[in-house]
Amino acid sequence: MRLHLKPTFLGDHNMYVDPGTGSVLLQIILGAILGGGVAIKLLWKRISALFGKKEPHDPQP
Amino acid sequence: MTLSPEPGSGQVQHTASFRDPSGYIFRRRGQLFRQINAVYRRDYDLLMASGLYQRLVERGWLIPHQEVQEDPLEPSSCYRVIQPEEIPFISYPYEWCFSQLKDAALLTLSIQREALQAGMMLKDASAYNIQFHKGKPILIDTLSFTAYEEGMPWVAYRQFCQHFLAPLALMSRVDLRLGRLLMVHMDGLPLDLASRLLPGSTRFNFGLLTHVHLHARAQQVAFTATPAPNNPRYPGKRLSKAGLIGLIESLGATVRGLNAPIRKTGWVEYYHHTNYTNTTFESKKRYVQETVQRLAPRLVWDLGANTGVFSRVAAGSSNALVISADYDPEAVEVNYQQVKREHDSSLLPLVIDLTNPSPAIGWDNTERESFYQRGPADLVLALALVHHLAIGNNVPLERLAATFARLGRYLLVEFVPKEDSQVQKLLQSREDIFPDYHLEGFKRAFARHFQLEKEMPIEGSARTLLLYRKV
Repeated sequence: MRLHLKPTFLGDHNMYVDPGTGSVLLQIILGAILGGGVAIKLLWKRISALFGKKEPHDPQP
Repeated sequence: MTLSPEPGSGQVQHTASFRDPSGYIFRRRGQLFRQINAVYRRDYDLLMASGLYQRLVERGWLIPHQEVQEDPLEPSSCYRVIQPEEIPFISYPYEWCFSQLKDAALLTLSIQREALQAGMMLKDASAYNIQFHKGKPILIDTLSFTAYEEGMPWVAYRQFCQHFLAPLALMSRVDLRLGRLLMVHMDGLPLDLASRLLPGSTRFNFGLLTHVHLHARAQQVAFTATPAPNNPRYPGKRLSKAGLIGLIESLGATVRGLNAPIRKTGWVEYYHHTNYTNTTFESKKRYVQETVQRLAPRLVWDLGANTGVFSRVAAGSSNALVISADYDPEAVEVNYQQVKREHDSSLLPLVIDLTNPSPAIGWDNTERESFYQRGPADLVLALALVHHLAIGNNVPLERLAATFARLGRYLLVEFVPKEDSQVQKLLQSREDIFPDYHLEGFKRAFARHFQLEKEMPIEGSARTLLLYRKV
């Protein structure tokens, strides 16, 4: 297997943390799965907003 | 704070501030500054202009700073010099209890979410960038932000999992004491190690399965794969913003789902099992109050603080910051929970083992300071502690005195004699090899380093409080 994984964003001189090839790969896979959920949630928020339902404020840590 | 001296210049660069080319911390005339390098100009301007800085500071999530007209340490690379508000006492993740690390993790994720809304993201997620200030976690690295473009993965995902998620999972699912592993692994726990140590049941938790176990596996696969010739860059648009938000939310849900297993160790229950009567307790409390009021210290170290009962007495009688240190992570957890409940801004509970206090670690052994380097305190409290060190840990009284003399200008110490039931308990299964362990022997040993200011017999007990001033 050959990996082509030095991403374009690393051209930025401030990126000093190695993101790790495996970690980037996993994020892309997880993002594809979890992103669907977020998209549905956003859609639901918009539908709720149409009916005037208020969103709870994001709690502080 | 460890700073590397530049001979003759009277100014020094912080010894832990060298990895990020965006800038660094330096000290001059006793004041703390941060040089921002020209390479970080675009990101700094965006942080300030987008309103993100303002929002984070208003919420108490990011350390505030002033832009100052101060000569930079290296003018050729400098864009700006800022002066951040200074944190009075620096602590490290391996000294935090479970909930301190958890709150630091949740703060990091909240900042990441807020940054994304402003078109930025965190380019690092080091637990060392979080400090406890006025009772709450706060991000101290102003240069942690970078401009976000749709498609970018989170460069700090691996670091977040190593610095926060893996140790939290181990502390929650195996044992709280495993938080100390962070002292050995300064860039966070290797995920393959965490994956091996975690029980198999954690594979049924979606967050731990993916962010720890599969993450460790992905790292291993990537490591053993052959790199492509010339390592060409792949086209950038790979992780959608919704995907990135989903990832952050999943990490947040996983962290929130982890809790500290409190089993009520002997230490947490200490005050219920000792022979403290109400009179004894009140007498001791009154002496602590009187001492603290008279000395008006700014920094108090309460060593062997347990759940912080007398730390609170000290904090309540002064404007001091009280470092409430104990070696038992459960006692520190209980202490921190109370700090949170009461919004206490003057107490910092920390896990410190006095028989082996935090050493200086990291590059050149100067990145993270030892516990003792962060002193001296104005006042050290050593209440119901000496017998554990002298008898429980075989430290001769002379050595104890010499060490205490390095830690603070004043020392309020409780001598617990052999006839006390707590000492009897320590001696019941071992030989008594401590012929000099009595009040006179104690005073003799301490007289070499201290001036005895006051001797206060504690009512209703055979114990004595002694107030010493360092000579």
